[in-house]
Parts: sequence; C-alpha cells; structure tokens
Amino acid sequence: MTESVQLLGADPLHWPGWSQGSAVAIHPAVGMVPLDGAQWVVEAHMGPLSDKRERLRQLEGRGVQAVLTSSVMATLAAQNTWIRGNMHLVGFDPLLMAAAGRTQTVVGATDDDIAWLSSTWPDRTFIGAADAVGLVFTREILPIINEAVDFVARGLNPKDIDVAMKLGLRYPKGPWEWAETFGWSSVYWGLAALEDMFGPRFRPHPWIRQKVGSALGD
Amino acid sequence: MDVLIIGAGTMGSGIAQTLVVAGHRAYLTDPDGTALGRAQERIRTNLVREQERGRLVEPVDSLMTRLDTTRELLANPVDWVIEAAPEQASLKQKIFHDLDRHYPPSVWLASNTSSIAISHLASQANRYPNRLGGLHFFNPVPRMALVEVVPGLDTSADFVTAAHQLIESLGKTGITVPDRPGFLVNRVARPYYLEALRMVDEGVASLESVDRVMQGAGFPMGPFRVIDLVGVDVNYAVTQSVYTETHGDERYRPHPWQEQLVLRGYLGKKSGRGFYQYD
Repeated sequence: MTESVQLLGADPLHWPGWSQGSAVAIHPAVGMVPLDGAQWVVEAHMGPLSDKRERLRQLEGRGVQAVLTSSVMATLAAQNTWIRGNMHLVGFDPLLMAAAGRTQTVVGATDDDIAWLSSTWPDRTFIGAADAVGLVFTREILPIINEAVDFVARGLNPKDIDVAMKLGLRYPKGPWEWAETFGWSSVYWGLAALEDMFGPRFRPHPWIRQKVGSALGD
Repeated sequence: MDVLIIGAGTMGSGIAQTLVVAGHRAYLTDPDGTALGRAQERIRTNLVREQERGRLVEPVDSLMTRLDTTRELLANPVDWVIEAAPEQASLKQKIFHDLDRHYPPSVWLASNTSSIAISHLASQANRYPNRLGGLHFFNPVPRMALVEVVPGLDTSADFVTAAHQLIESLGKTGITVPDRPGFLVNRVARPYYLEALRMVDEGVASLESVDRVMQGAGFPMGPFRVIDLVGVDVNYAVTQSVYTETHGDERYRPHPWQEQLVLRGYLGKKSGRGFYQYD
C-alpha cells in the first residue's frame, strides 16, 4: 500500500484538487525534490515539454518505477520515447484532477494501477481513454475558456460571463472561475498543445498570450 | 405591464407563464389556434404543479385571468412585444416588419432568437429600429434565471434599460451581451458539444464516458445528454447558424454525425432516440 504520493510540477493552484478526498498524504513540490520513499510519483507539469522530458529522465535515472504523468500536452506514446523504458508511465488529465472530477480518465493503466488509484482517491472512479492530447476534460474545458476570453477582450465583465454560464446552462463554475482554478499558464499551455495537435481552432486567444507573456519562439 | 408574446410554442408559453406569475398581463398569439389551446393548457398545468409544490400563493384561476390568447395582433398598444416564433430568419423578419408598421414607437419590440443577429431582424423594421432588441430567455423559461439582453446596431440605450427593468420584475438576471452569432452563452458553449462529438468520432472515448467525465466534474449533464434533451436538431441548428454567421469559422463547423441523426429523425428524447435510446 502506497503511503504517500510525491506530486511534482503541478501548479500550486491545482494542489487542493489532488488532496481532496485522498486516502494518503500528497506531497506537492514545484521542482525536483528528494522522493522521500514515495512509491508513486506524479508528474503533473503543464508547461514547456522540454521541462517535462527532462524531469521524466531524471526520475528514471533515480530508479523510480512508476510515474503518473500528465498526458494532455503530449501523448503517453510520445513520453515513452523520451525515456529508456525502465519506468512504467500512466497518463492522466491534470486539470480534471485539479477540478476533483469524480470520474477521472487514465491512459495505459493496468488493473493494478486502477486499483492503486482507486484506493488512493476512493471518491473518484478511474476509466480508460485513448492516448490523445487533451484527453476528455481538458479538451472540453479549455476551448470554452478561450471563447469566454474573446468576450472579455471585447469589454464584457468576466463576472457577468460566469453568471451567464451558470444561470443559463447551470455550469458548476463560469469559464473565468475555471481558468482561475487552473491558472492562466496551464490554460495557455493546454491550448497550445491542443492547437499543435488538432489545429488553429484551439489557438490561445491573444489576451491569454499577453496574460502569460508568451512570445514568438517560446 | 401588458406584453404580447408571438408564438405559442415551448418558449412563448414559458415566457407568458413567467409574466403572469410576476403580475403582468400576457397576450399570447399564434396563427395556429390549436397551438394556442395547447399552450393555455400547458401553462395551467404548470401553474397547478407549482402551486402544489408551494411555490405559488395566488390561485391558479386568478393567475389565468391575466393570460389572454389572440389570433391577431392587438389593436391597442402594449408595453412590450416578445417574439418567440420558430428560429427562421425570414419568418422573424416578416414578423418584425409587420410589428414595426403596426405599433407606435412607444412599444418595445424584442426577439427571443437564440442565434439570429438582431441587426439582421431590425433590417426589416426600418421605421423605429431603435426600439428593437433581443431578449433571449433560456429553456425552461420559468426555471432558468438568465435572460440575455442583446442590443443590435440601432438599439437605443433606453431599450436596454427598459429590458433590464422588465427582467428584474420577473425575478431574473439580465446580462447585456453583444450581437454576435450565438450571443454569449450559446457561443461560449459551442465547444462543449462540438469537441465532444469530435472526440467520440475520433475514438478518444465513448459518448457515455464523455458524459460521465463532464458530469463528474460538476456539469449537470454531459454534452450528449444535453443535446438529446434540448433536441439534436435544435442544437444542430444553433451550431449551423453560428457557423454560417461567422462565415465558416472552423471552430463552429457542424459535425456530420449530428447531421446524420437529424436527417434520420433521431432528434433526442422527444423522438425516443438521439445519441441515446429512450423508452
């Protein structure tokens, strides 16, 4: 039985979603830290893929056996090419975890992995999804935020947009509230990855690009 | 206030019900007499149910005295006319052309369109286009608290003020939104449906899984359940309208799978089959 989980690379805004309802201690850290005997490591970074690639290689170099790795920006298949094959990777959706979704999507999970995940987060169910950028939730929620941003850029009040979506369609949170739950950096990088994979319909709105200070060549 | 509602369908009767409950007088009109009769019955049934649940104090018979039906436009001016006719631009344009001719400039004219540009409708109401704008209610009207107020190119600030006053009197929240295809809510929500259709088509997950994930994240229903509930055809028409009015913006391209269901008559819960099968 895993007694603790080391959470690496997640935006601190996401940490509460990881701890909510978890049966074991979650130890978050922004950078690479001593693993303190954690049997499972989570790599939840949403940012430049070069950072993630480096971190996975470091973890493999330290002899980590298994990593729950964010697979909304790069497929699990791609991530497996980054390492030497001595580490078991299971993909997941970090925004869905941050949202404490009751049904989580995972990629490449064995029955044992599912059993571990279910015992670690007993209030969540873990179901398999195909190995695709964005998985389900991230691919749904980020373009909704992107659409809302376009209205803000045209002068609408973000709070009005949130009120409208909650009252009009009973969304649990407005797009702005979702964005601030995830952090604008995660919103940007998630959209950029979706754009890279599926085309310009996911292009991050210029307002978001300005917000996170993205520039040509990033 | 006296309000004439054009169209005795689900939206029109919902608006009429909401108006009478709020103390206004509602005149419901429709060229189809049987539709008017059905609407009256639906409103009475809904009011009785609301009363049984303790949500209404005023007796139903008393409430119903504030509801009238008519086959023609009223001769005397009302305070507001709210059009809730089928979502066809040419039909709505004709209605507003006639209303503009029929009523003096003191009568506010509003469309409950969910996706047709207000300025497009106003183009056929040239006498006083400043008194015309959008009042987009959400279904089911008596329950949903939001109304989008949509000023077109010519709509006056006074229209917007009067609209918010009317909405407030109904106990609802009005948000002023730009006259863009889909307005605010339907525009922002398009990816919820379209990406779901695309990802299932691509084999990322089953439609049941997509619904389960989104519901598990707090949405009241997954995208496929929502589409089935509102009508596969209705949802498709909104997407098609936004796509057309944005001159083919790829983000809003309708999905062929949904089109197939519409063509086959699998329109959702109302037809017994949509993305899901219903008994």
